[in-house]
Formats: sequence, structure tokens, C-alpha cells
Amino acid sequence: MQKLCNCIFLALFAIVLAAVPILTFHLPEDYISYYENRALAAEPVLNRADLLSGKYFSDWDAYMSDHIIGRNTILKTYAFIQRTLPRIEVNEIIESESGALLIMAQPEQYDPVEQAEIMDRKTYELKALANYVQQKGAVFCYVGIPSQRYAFYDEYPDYLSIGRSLVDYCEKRVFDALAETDAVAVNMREVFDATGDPRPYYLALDSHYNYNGALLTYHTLMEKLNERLEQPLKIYSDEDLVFHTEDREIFGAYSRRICNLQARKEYLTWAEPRESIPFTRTDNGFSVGSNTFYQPDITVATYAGYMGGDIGETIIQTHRDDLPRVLMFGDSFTNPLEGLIYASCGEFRSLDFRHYQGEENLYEYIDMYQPDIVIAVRDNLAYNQSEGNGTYR
Amino acid sequence: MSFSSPGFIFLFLPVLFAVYFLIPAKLREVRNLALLLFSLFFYAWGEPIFVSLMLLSIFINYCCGLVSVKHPRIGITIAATVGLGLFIYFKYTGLLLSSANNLFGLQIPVPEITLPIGISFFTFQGLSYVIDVARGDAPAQKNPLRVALYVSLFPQLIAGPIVRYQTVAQEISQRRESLDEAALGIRRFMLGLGKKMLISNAMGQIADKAFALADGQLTWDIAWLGAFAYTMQIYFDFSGYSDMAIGLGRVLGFHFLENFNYPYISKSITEFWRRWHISLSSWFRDYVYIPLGGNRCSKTRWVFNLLFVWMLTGIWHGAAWNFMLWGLYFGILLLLEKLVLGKVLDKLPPICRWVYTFVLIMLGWVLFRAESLPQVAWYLKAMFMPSVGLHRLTLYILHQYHIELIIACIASIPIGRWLSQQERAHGGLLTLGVNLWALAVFGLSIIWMISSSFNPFIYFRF
Repeated sequence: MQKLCNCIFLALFAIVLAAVPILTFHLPEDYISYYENRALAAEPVLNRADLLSGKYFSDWDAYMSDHIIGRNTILKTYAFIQRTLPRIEVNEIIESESGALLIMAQPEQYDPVEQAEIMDRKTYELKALANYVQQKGAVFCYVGIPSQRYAFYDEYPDYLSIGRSLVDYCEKRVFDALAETDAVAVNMREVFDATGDPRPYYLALDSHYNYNGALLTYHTLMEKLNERLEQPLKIYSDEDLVFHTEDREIFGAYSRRICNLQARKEYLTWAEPRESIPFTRTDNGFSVGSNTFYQPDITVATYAGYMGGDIGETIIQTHRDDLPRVLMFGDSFTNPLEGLIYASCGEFRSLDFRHYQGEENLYEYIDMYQPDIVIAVRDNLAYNQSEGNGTYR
Repeated sequence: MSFSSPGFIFLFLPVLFAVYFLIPAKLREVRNLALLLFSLFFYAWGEPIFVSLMLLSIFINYCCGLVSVKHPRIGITIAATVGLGLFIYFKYTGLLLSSANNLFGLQIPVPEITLPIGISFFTFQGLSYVIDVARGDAPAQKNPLRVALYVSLFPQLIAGPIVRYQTVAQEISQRRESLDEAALGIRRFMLGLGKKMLISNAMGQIADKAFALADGQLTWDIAWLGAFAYTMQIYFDFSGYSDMAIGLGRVLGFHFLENFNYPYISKSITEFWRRWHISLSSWFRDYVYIPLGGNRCSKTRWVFNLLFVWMLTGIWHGAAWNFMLWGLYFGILLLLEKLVLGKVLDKLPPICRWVYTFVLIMLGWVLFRAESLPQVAWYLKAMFMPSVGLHRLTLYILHQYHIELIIACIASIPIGRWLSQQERAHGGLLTLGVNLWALAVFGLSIIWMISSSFNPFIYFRF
């Protein structure tokens, strides 16, 4: 019996040891990790420098780890086991009692003096930009949007003590600074709070707001803009829009991390004007279809469906020269807004400096484009950040 | 190459086993040659450039072994001078120069020297060969490939256990691989991998969080929790690696000596060092402590011998003063136990002796883990400064890692060994159960390996 057991045991081990590499190298190769949303390691290429440094071999380790047979099943099994165990977080995702997925966050730790200096600089730059836009005869509008983490703050376990004093401080500095300018300032944190509960305006499985949140932001900013404009922009009400909902559940940035195993499911909604507004669209200089919603990865439904994701430069022309030229810049929170605002413009441009391939900075782009309205969209965790869309010059 | 990498398990091992076991057992030298080539490739996987250093070490030890037969002192002197010279150059140049700069206000440029993986282990193994031959404990090996295989044998090459030549001298030329031994070895490998992937890595995450806290952020609760987690991390990391090494050795027909014997059940520091990193402490005992005179000398000399050996043991672990402090800490504790505490301890109930030992071991690991001497000071201070309430990190860790903490406590007592003894004695369903258990642990370890990015090996840096 002992010998038989050991024989079977060794045979099983030998089969696993042989089958894994054979299947790994003989089955078609994936290039993208479905659940991790990243490119998988490429097969190492032998060269003298990498061989001598040991990189060639360590790259093989990474390749084997990334391409091992059944990798998605392994990741899913790992997430399943971790979710089954009594834990706070799985792959840095906290599943709250309401079923919302929250990104694990560290308590705010900051040097108040250092942050004050940063915000001095940031608000100086912001005021300079607002004044510059005004000097150019355009209207500058700044929209601050709470991140999903901020909206769901009360659902984090108390003992994590994440805190929000830094975010609140930065928000105060930004909107105090805007008050010193002629800019249209839209603090969506106040607007969402005024609803009594901001959570219905946010995706529970992703880091962004949902379409209700985008619509509320759209209406708020358009109404505030119209207070300033001689020729008000058309604001599309729910009756003016046709709403669509994706059949497939959303594969959110957070649900992706736990392999979509969460109980709560959500579906993306988007809208388009009931009365068709013909337009042409170019992305990064290339003509693309006249869509404001399409999934760049047809296998999954993600937030990237809004405008097809984050794109360096999008130009939408409705060829109605009597309507204003609008420039919007910001991170992914702009995407669902773009699909609404364009309909009120003669030409609408959106920039995302994280991906913009042109050489112009924001000032140069404004000089070149001469917009009538400039809209900045920033999430509240990024008020003190300078990366990407946080740098103007 | 790390044992806990997919490249090792699913590329290196299958090819090695296929080649090795396809060669008929009768062709022992061919099997040895294959094993040597695979061992060199294993080392080259991590740092190809340092294979030449290891080959140089092998060559010197081989020659010194031959010289030692007739001229033991000359053989040992050359082997020690060259071997330890290379060891000191690669490991301690930075520490010595930067310390000299600090101490004497000099400005000698400190070169950035990459530490060859496993140099602490293969240097000591090479010396062990020459000293064993010089003492007549083992015959000089005329076949250089056998010396090369002894020094470079991949299971123990990078993180031990430090295999002494006399232990494996005979098995290099005459050993017998068997199905039962292979099953035993593979099981040991799987459970060692589980110790590393499932327990040690989780403990490491806790320890890293605690030790990352700055002075002023640490409170007593998280400081103790961090020290406990590191205590468990280093045990399951190192003993897991030793289990994998011993297991792979078994598959290939080698019987390496045990390196750990449930050290955290010890009831004195003396007992702890009989159970912890046994191959290192016995190496220092047999090749340094006893030749210095051991305890068969004057009391002053004995105290010096003991503290000197423990200082060396500490500094062997790393080029930093806190390692030396750690070694001296244990040297002093051992001295105290031998002179005073031993008799007091004998009168205490076992639980008190265990608490005394475990707390001192944890404090020792704080010295070991701290990045600097100031951190040692503030960390230890925090451990003994009561504060109100629990740190948020303590609450987070207890919520997030309580299962691993419980498993670590259970796995550090000899339940596994008892089960293994029962299985060997009774077989039957127990064998089936143990095999299934090993396969389950192996499966989970692979899942953890592929899915999580936190996978350090502490003893690689030694």
C-alpha cells in the first residue's frame, strides 16, 4: 500500500512536471493578462549583455510565470480562495458590506508645511491658467470630482483610518484660488454631498462615477457655464437623450482585480441625443467612426467604453460654426462628459496629457486652437498632483 | 535561481529529472557529471558571471585538499586565505571601508561590489572539504569533478544547509536512489515550498509593514506583532528552503543533515541554537570554536572563544554591524545561561522557560531585521513603551492575516514531524493522506506563486 501510494504520488508529480511546460509552450500565447490588465512578459531574446547580467534567465522566470498554462484559472482560484477566507482585502480590494469594491488605501500621512508649499504652487499655476484663458477672451471652467474612494469613504473599516483631511485641505485651496479668478468653479463634491448620498452616482466596481454621476456633473457644469455665456449652450435633459445599457456586466478596474467574483454586478449606461447630431471624429490625428461609446476591447465591457477610453487628443466637429469651440482636458472622468458636451458645440476637443502625443503644452494648445471655452476636469485625489493633466506648461 | 520560481519547478526540474534518471544508475560518474552541469547551470541562472568565481573556489579547494594529505597546515592555510579572502572582499569591503571612513574621517571611495549569491555557503563548504581531509576525517578526492559536485550541488548551493564533506563523501561516489526516498524527498520539497509560499511570505508582508514604520509611528503592539511576524518569516523562509534542499537531495540519493529542529519550542537559548541553523552552528563549533580551544581552557579564554565565535556567526549573516550585535547578543546570552541563568532556568516551570526563550529570540530577530542601529534602538524602545489602544496597522493585520498567524503558530510545533513518523511506521492510509496533503500544499503554493508578487528569500543575501 505504502509503495503503491508513493508510486501514484510520484507519477502524478511527474505528469504535472512534464505537462505544464509542454502545454505552456505548445498552446497559443496570450499577450495581455485578462484580469491584471497588463501586457504579459515577452519571450526573452538572447543577447550577450542580458546573458551575463542574469537578466536573460530572470526574464524566463517572468515569462514562465506570465504564460503558464491555465494562468487565468490560477488567478481566479487564488482570488476565490482569498475571498473565501475571512480577510479585509483581496488583491488590494476591500469588498464592503454593500458589495461595493474599494481600493485599499493607506492613512493620509503628510507634512502640512510641504503640502502647503505644493498647493501654493498648484494654485498659483491654476490662477495663472484661468487668467490666461480669460485674457484670450475665453471662459475657463474647472470641475472637481470626488474619486470613488472618497464617495465610499464611510464604507471603509473604521480602523483603517484613511482620513481625508489632506483631500479637504487641497480642495479648499483649489476653490479658494478659483474664487480669486473669473473662472467657473464646479465643486462636484458639494453637489454630490447635497444629494444626501453620493454613492448612487458612482460605480461600485470601478474607480469612476457612473452615468448618473456623469449626467449630474454635465448638468451642473453646463448650467454654471450658461450663467456666464451670452449665448447659452443647449443642455440635454433626460427627455432629449436616448439611453442605452450594455448587455454585459461591467468589468471594472476593481472587479477585475478579484477576477469578477464579487456578488454585486453593474451594467454601463450611456446616452446619445435623441435628435441626431452628425459629427466627424479624429483621435490623435486619425479619422475614426462617429461614435461616443464603443468598447476598445470587444471581449469585455469596461469604463473605457465611454469615448473608447483615454485618448491623447480627440476632435469632434459638428460643423455648426455658430456654436462655440470647446476644449476639455483631464483624466478619465472627462470621457462620459465628452459624449454629451460635444452635442452643444461647433467643435469639441478633448486632451488627455497622459497620452497626448503632440509637442504642445496646454498654453500652446490654447494659443493654437483659440477655444471659446476651456474646461478642466480633475479628481479630488489629484488636486496636489502634477503628473499628466496636473501640469499646464 | 530560486526554488520558489516557476522557472525552477517547471523548466529546470523536469529537464534535470528526465536527464538524470534516463542515465542508468550504473553509470554513476555520468549521473554525477550531469548533476554537476545542471548545478552550474542552476547557479548561472542567477548570476552567470560568478560561475567563474565558484569554479575558482572549487579548483583551489581541490588542490588544497590534495596538498592537505601530506601538508595539512599548508593546505588549510592556502584554502582559508584564498577562500576567506574572496569571501571578505565580496562581502565586507563596503562595510569595512565605510566604517573606516566614518570612524577616522577618511574619504576612501567605497566600491559597489555585487555579492555573489551563496558565497557564504560554498566558501564554508569548500573549507569544510579541505579541513576534513587535513584532519583525516575524509579521504582526499582525486577526481576534481567530485569536489566540484560537492561544492556546487544545487539543492544546498545557494542557501544551505552547509553540507560537510564527510557527510556526503561516500554518497557522491556510491548512493542509491529509490522510489520511496524520491517520494519522501518530493513530499519534503512540496511542504518546504508551502512553508515558504503560504506562511513565510504572509509573515514577511506583516514584518515589512511593521519595520517600515518610522520612529514615532511605532507603538508597542505593532512593534511586538512585527517582531513576531519576522520571527516566523525567517523560520519558515529558511527552514522551508532547507526542507526543499533536503527533499531534492533525497530524490537524487543524498542525505543532508537536518538544519532545523523546531527551534521555537526551545526552553533555553542554548537549546535554541541546537535546533536553529544546525549546519552553521555545528560548522563554527567544529571548525572554529573547538580549534580555538573550546571550553577546555581557562575561563577567560573560554569566554573569548565563545564571544569570538558568536561575533563571527553574526557577521557571517551580513555586512552590517547589527548582525555582529545580533551574534554577540546570543553569545552573551549563552554565556549567561552557562554561568548563571542555566541553574535558575532549571527550577522554573517549562512554560516560563519557553516564554523567556521565545521573547529573547524575538528581541534577537529585531536586531537582525533592523536596517540600522538607530532603528534597533527605536524599535526596541517602542516594544517596551506602553501606549493606549491598538495601532491601526495591528487591527488591519489581525483582520487580514489571522489565519496565517494561527497556521504559523501551529506549524512551528512538531505536529508535522509526529505525523511523518506515524506515516513511516504505519503506512497505509496515512501514506495516502500525507501524499494528498503534500499535493494540496504544492497546488496552493503554485497558485500563490503565480498570483502574488511578494516572494523574497531572506537567506539568498547571505
